[in-house]
Amino acid sequence: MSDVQWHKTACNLCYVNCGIEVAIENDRMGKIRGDRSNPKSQGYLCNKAARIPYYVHHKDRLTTPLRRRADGGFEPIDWDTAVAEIAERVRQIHAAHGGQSFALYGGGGQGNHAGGAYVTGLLRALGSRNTFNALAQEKTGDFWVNGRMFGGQNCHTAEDVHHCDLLFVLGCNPWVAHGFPNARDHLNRIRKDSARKLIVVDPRRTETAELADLHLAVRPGADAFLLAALLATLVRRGAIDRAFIEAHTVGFEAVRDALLRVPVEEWAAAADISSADVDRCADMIQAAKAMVVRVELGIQQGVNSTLNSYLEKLLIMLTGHFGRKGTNQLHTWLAPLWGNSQGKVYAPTGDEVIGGLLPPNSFPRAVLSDHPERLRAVFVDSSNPANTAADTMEAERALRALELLVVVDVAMTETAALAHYVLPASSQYEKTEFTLFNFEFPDNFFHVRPAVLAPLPGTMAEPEIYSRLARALGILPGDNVLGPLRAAAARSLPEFDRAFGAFMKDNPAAQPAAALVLYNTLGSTLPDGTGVAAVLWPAAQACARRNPTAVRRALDVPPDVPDARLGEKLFEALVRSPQGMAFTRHDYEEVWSLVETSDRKVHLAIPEMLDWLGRLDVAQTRPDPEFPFVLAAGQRRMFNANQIFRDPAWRRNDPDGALMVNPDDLASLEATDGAWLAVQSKRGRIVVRCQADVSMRRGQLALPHGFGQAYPSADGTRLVNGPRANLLTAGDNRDPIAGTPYHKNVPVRLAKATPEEATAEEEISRRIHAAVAA
Amino acid sequence: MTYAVTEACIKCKYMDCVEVCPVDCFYEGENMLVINPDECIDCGVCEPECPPNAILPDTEQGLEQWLELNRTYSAQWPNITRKGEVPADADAHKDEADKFNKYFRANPGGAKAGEMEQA
Repeated sequence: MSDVQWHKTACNLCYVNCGIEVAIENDRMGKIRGDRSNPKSQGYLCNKAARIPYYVHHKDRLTTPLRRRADGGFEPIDWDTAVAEIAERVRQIHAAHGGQSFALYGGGGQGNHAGGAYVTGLLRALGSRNTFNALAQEKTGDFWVNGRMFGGQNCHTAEDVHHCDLLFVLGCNPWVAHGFPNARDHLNRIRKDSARKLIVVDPRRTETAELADLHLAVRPGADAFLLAALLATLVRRGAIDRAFIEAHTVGFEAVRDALLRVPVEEWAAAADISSADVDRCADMIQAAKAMVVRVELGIQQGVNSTLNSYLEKLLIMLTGHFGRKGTNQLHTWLAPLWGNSQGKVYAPTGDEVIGGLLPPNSFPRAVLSDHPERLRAVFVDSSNPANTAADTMEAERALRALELLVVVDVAMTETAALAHYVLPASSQYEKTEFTLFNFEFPDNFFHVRPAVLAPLPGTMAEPEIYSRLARALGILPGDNVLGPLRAAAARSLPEFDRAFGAFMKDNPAAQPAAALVLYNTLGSTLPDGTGVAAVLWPAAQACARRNPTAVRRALDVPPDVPDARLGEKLFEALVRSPQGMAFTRHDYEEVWSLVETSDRKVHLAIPEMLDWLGRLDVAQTRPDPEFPFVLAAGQRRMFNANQIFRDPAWRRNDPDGALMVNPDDLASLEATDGAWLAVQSKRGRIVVRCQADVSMRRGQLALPHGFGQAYPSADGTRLVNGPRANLLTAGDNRDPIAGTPYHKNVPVRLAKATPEEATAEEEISRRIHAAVAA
Repeated sequence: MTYAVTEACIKCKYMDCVEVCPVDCFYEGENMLVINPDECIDCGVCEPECPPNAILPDTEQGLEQWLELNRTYSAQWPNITRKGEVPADADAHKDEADKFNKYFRANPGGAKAGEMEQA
């Protein structure tokens, strides 16, 4: 008899983290359905979620700690040996070079942030705040702008797409890539409502552009020129919200003067957009009652990334579409996913630290430079820089040069393959997890999701792994010290609160590792194995202190409960809401309480950005004769996700991660659809399958992200499935402020692969997909 | 980009698909369901749920008749969001051929469907 149990959890494939229900039968995950009781996604899911079992059950899971042998191979070792040896190496390197020689790379992915707090605690206790992660190759330009405009780098804009009458989509394809709750459902609603409009700015005629009232097929890399031309048009027309600007912003005059200097026609032409279309776009914005701007990596990983983010924010602010229903807003945090580090510089590379993060593009230099504080030891947690950082060859060289590389992951990643020690983590469905992707306003949501499967034997959840390392390093006190705290937690939360506060005051050395103390005390008393959520205890307190009214509303707390106990109520709800919950509920006009400038106004004039705008030169948009094609390295598609999906069987189409190319460009190469082509950049050359696609502009190419992983074929040989796109990208093709890569603008040239190459690639593809079918 | 309900649904109507659809885009006729192509988000969750494999993606060849039928009748039939009572003879019709010509009815489904059948 089958014994199917449905459990509530969340999708881990994009940052919306839709609530799902999964069928567990005989310790295996089977069917997936949307969870209608999840307050954010309300039963919605997309085409990718049904494939999650391929993440959970596959042939490449790690089940034992591994140690690199002298000959380069790995040997299995037990957990005690691994922990003792790693701790010993850490002690030696720390004694010789200090805490600055350590760094964390990663700290969680699209579905798993719970472990991040614990590894961060371990690193802080060692004296390091050096964190490289994906946010700093995507979003730190945006954070930098937010820091200057809103007063905090973690003041982050929310997008009330559900209620807008004009959706302005800039550099993203939400039909495929989502990015806001229930994306396809809401795009359909906008399309069917003649009173609601959709503008899409994208070089490609994307699936979302197909639904649009106006598609501006901007020249790749020319977004800043188009945005500036549009803003200048609005200013010249007087189509800006003077009352809003007057009431809520400072610095308008400098911005206006800079925009009035923009040569609109010349810049529109540089962006390959007609002046008539710029005017149409301005007309639609002028007619909108509630515009929301939805942006993503298309501009954030495009040329002039940080400037693009600035111009996008100006579009919101000058038109006054902010802080109302259906517009952009700011949002609360239960705990901020990134920090505020304005003005800090990382000495070994000279990079500005933004949001507390360091750019992966600088990781090789941080290791390979001769700076005295260069990196010697790195913990990689749920991340795969050997595939995902720009310039694979250089990233691998840096990883190999480390004195200690410890990788904590569920599978044998390309980065794990270079490690000294690999520690096998339990999968995201074998342990309690949550993410800090809480980007909604006026209601914001959090989801602590208990495990739905037992841990794969031999694996461990990250908080346990880092606790063991911390104990071995003497960072985490022993049970004689923690016992009384545990006993207090077992009695009541208020008692624990008092005991924990007193403990931290008396033990300042334990403060950096507070998360580990919480997990090992309060954590052991939490229901349903949710001990990992212990780190949310101080977060709940802080959130309730900052937003008492909004927390009270969201939880429907009775009036007789004092504000001082709201944090406790919030924490109790968090660990007992397997379907997720709203943790703050605001009124729209309360958004101004989330602005962190001292005058609660938006500071429009950022001198560095206005200088950059003044220096823009249309010559930048002309193709490089040596590399005439512009490659988007890392396109989001129907069946790609981040690196956590390693089993090629999960995909229902595009098995080889094809290069998308305009049919006319293909014809000019005298190549046929589906042929193998060689893509050459200044950094490298790869051979890929091509796919003719009329949605592409001439001269534009796209490769998917999430490919290039080795996976065991039928005979056990590890074969690489699809392109390792970062073999083509260069570390210095990056934003000058944020260090974020210009992945959407990789100059390349194309040629037919040699017959030998084509035969070899065809054979690899055949063997990979034969293994899939088997 | 949509999925379509095809001939195998006729007289079977198990309605397992309705339970999993995240956007409630199924519409009910007297003896089959259809998908509204403008509401379907192409998630594919319904496809494996269907016992007679009646639900197919529009990328399959030769579905023109069914895509047309889904579009036409989803505009006429009532929305169905919860599984109702499965016809007693559903299993008997599961592998039957030529069901469209034999049984298709343009009548809307819903509470009265059974009564119409008897009338």
